[in-house]
Formats: sequence, structure tokens, C-alpha cells
Amino acid sequence: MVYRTLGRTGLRIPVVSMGVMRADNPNLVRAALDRGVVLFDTANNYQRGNNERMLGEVFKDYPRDSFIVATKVKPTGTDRQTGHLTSETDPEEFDRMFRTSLERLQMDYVDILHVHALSSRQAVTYEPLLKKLEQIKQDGRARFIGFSTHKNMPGVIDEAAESGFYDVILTSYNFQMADWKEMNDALEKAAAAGIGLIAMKTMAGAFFDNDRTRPINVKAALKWALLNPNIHTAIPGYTSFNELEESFSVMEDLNLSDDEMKDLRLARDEASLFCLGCNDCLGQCRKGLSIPDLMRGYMYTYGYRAYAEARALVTSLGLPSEPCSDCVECTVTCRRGYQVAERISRVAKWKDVPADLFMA
Amino acid sequence: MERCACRFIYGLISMKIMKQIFVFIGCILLWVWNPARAQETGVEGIFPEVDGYDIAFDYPVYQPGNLWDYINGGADAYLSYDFIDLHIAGYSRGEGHPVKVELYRHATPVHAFGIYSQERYPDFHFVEVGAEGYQEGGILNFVAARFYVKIISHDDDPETEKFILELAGKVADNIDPEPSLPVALSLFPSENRLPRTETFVARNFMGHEFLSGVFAVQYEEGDDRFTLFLLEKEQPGECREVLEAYYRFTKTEFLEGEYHMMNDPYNGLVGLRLDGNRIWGVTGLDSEEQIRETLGSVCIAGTP
Repeated sequence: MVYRTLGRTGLRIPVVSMGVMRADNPNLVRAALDRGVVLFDTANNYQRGNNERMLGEVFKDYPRDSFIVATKVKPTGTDRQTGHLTSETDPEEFDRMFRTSLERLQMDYVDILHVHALSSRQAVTYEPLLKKLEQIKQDGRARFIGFSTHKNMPGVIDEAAESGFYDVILTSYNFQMADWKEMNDALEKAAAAGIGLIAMKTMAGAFFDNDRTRPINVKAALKWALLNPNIHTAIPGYTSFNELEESFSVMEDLNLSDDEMKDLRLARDEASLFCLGCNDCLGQCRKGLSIPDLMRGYMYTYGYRAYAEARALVTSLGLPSEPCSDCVECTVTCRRGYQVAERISRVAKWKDVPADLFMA
Repeated sequence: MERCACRFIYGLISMKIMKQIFVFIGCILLWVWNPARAQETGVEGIFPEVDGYDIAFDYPVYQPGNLWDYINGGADAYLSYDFIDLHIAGYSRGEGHPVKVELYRHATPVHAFGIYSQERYPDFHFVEVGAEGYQEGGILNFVAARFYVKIISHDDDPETEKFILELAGKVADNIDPEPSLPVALSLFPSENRLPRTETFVARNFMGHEFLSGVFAVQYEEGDDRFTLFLLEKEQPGECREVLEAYYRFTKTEFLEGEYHMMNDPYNGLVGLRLDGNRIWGVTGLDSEEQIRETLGSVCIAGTP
């Protein structure tokens, strides 16, 4: 077994933990405990609370110090566009939801309380919520405070490293981010600041294709994330005993074999339709076009074949008739090397397609 | 010479333009012809107009590729129940918080019921909406046909709750005026059946990859609480394959017969009964005798 210390929490845990989110079988959780899994990750809203209830039923039969449980609560009032917390964000409501989580888990405290899905620097340091989190920690209802993030991760993680408030971060992290310098730098900075780092979505969607027929090499993908020493553990979301064994088996040897590396390279090449959402390109376009949205429109068109969605998105951007026509050279540089101007010229045509083409 | 060159260049340009025109026409035809497009919309008639309320469609239509943006880690569960898309409308009046209606469309009514059943808890306050639904303060969730519908408000005053219930009724009627739960659930016997415990598990029932597409219902008899489950396959041969897989998992030799007792290292004693293209199963009982008795009565009671 490979153990790492989860940052300043001092918790010593195996590099493979369990994302319980989809599991509904208590015997699978018991099997994971027997196998040596220590950290279990759930959330207030998974299966509308049934996930926490199921864990509570299992854990009541185990000594409290034999497992680590992390749950997440999503603050109300998050601005969808900016990711900012707003005046609608109610720390008392957050506390009420957390109390419900504790009841379902049949526990007086959780080991880690995450704020669910932060996606802006502002949200990371939103004072009213920080005060509530501090109070929860002082009350002893959470030993450690963290947050989860799967959008704008580098900025959010960087902000957390600067703030010094958080003990743990749960972040999306997978092999498609190999060349994403800002992301890897942010992880390094956070780890150096003593923040425990947990990886999720290590399988990058688990399938190459939108029809979910061609699976990614999940073992290789998990190993890739864990080869970064700044990642202290990962939470693959297994739902079968076979998947549990497969995930756990990576600890026999974390190194990627030649075949596994080849599989990941193929997966990365295959995924070239998909925008990382790194937002590096924001502000690079001299005409102020929203490049991430346009790349998403391209992904909807050619990746998902979601034509109505693509049209709706592109139309909502209010593009000029030929957005790139008077630029001699494109000023946008995509980290993945996408030919941004060429993609824009393709998806911009959607605004000329009548909406009633998509009516049933 | 100069004229020839001009003609040649003009010809090239013309060919290029013609090619572009053909490509564009081809694209339009492809869009018009595309049979998938009808599935990407066509829910507009489901959102009812309500006197005194404005309806806003401020959210994008979420699809498998971006459902994470809306419900984060909860999305994976929806994807495993063949989620197709999510349409959202907000109903607002005056200064109050809007009431949000979320229509999660799945591939089949069974899959919609499956994800609904994963989030339903028997102790909730159930209401007569759709095939089955419940209301908890400012939240009302129900299932009807291929839709799992969630109606949400941050206000939980009685007036809002009443409005939500009325709105839910209208939405349900627009989806299907006579919705029903999956037919397979009617095959389960009613005696000792615990209400609102019916589930459909799309994949990995009891943690086994070979047990997919399983209906399950909980029962209580005396001190015993157990789960009956049912798999239906197209062909009897597929049921045999499931049994063989289970035998392999328990590392025991396959035995022919109607009844099968599996000593499952993780789930304890599991009894199975082969019934044509169905497999009935029971878990949670300790003795083979009880299992045989239960499975026997189930099949007799359940056969139409």
C-alpha cells in the first residue's frame, strides 16, 4: 500500500480512497474498509442525501477513528456566470444543510467539510462563509475545512494557497492536464503551503466518446494522477467489487507501463475536440470574443453533435456577422494548440441557422 | 495569355465557391435530416403557463457533456441512468424567489424511475403527482414517463408549497396524463412489501457488474428484513450467462437447476431462481429454507 500525508491535517492515508457518490450498496463500502480504504468522500446532495444515510448506517458499526469521512455542502447564491458568492449566499442555510448531513451520517463531526464546487477566487475568500466555517471548526463539528473545485482550478487553488485558510482541496485532475503549467504550478504551491490535495475526475470522463462505448484505461489514468507527488490521494468512484479491486491494484506499482502510457497518449489525442476550460485565452482576442464559449460551441457541434445547444450558445454570444474577417492574424494562443480562428469561423455559422430547424 | 490566366484563376475561384456552396447545402440538409434533433428540444409544451407568473429560460440545456457544470459530482449517477438532457424554467412573480422547474429527460421511463428511486427516501411526504412523487418543504420531485422532474423554491411558506404542488400537477399532466410505475414492479408480491422501497438499479446491483438492469423491493416479515430482486433478459440463455458469472465470482462450480444458492463473500447468502427469461433473487435472509420458500411464493404470485 502506498500512503501519503494529507498536508497539514497530518492524516496518513492510502493514495486510493473512495468517492462514494454513486455507490448504493453498503457492502461495497464495507469491502472497501476491509481492503484498507480510509477516506470516504460523499456530499449533502448525492442521491439527495441517501448517500450520506447509507454511509451512516455502515459507519455506526465501526470505531470512529478507523475511517475518515469527508462531505460537501454547496452554498446558496452562487452566481452561475462568475462563480462569485453573493448577497444571496446564506451562511446559516449552509450550516443548516451541514447539520442535516451530520444527522444522516449519524455523527457528531466529520473529518473534512468541503464547500462544494467553488470556481472563483472571490468565492474562496468570501468572508461571511469563512466565518461560518471557522465557527463550525471551533465547535468541533468538522476537524478540517476544504473545498471542491472543477472549474477555473488554478486560480482557485492559488487563492487558497495565498489565503492560508483551507486545510484540504478536492480538485479535478487528470492526464489531459499534463501540459497545463498553471494547474500543476498551483498544485505545487498549494502543497508547499501545507494544503492536502485530493484528486477527483481522474478518469477524465471515463469514456473517449459521448456514447460511452469506448472506455479509457482507468488504471492508467488513476496512476497518472497519483504519480504527481503533490496529489495525496484520489477518490475514484467505484460501484462494483471489480472496480474496487482494479482501483486498489494500482498501489502495487504506481509506475505507468509502456502500454498504459500509450493508452493515455491515445486518449489525449482523441480528446482533441474538447476544450479544457482553462480560460487562458480570456482577454487574448483583440475583438473581445468569448473564446471559451466558442470552443464549447465547437465541442457541442463536433464532439457531442448537440446542434440545438450549439446554436443556442453561439447565438447568445451576439457575434458580428464575420467575427474574424478583418483580423490578419489571430492573437489567441490555445494551450492545446487549437486553431482558434478556424474553429470560430466554423461555429459562427450557427447564428445564421434558423431556430425552427430544431423544432420537433 | 493574360486572358487565359484570368480565366484559369476565375475558374479556380468559381470551383472553390461552388465547393463551399455544396458543403453549406450539405450541412443544412444534414441538420434538417438529423433524426437526433427532435430529441434535443420538444419539451416546450411541458412547461405550463401560469396566470400571474413570468416564465424565464435563463439556463442552457444541459447534456451529458456538461451536466457536471450544473450538479457537479451528482452528474455521474444521472449519466449511469442514460440521461439525455436537462431543461430548466424559472417561474417568478413580484419580488419573491423564482420557483425552478428542472426536467431531467432519460432514455426510457424505467431509467427515469431508476434515478428517481435512487434519490427517494421512504420517509418522505408523498403526494399524488406523476407516477410517484414527494414534497419536502420547498422541494417537490416526481417521475412521469421519461422525465424525472424537480421543482425547487427557496421559499417554503405554505402559499409557495401550494403553488408548487399545483404547478407540479400541470407539468405532470403535460408529460403524461396517466403515468405509471414500470410494469415489472407489479410482478412483485404485495404481502409484507415495504412501501416506497421499489428501485431500479441500472448497473452493478449489489456491486456486481453482471447484475445490471435490476428491479428491487424491500420486504419485512417478523424480524426479517430482506430484498427481493428481478432481472429480465431478452432470452433465457442470457439469464444462464448471469448465473454462470455469479458462480465464477464465488469460485464455485455451476450447478444446473431452478434454484441457486450463492455464498457471496460480500453480500452473504443470496438465493436465485431461474424463471425462463427472468431471474428472481433474494438477499438478506439467513437460511436456504427461507430463501426457497420466499422465491417460490414470489414466482407463483408474480406470474401473470
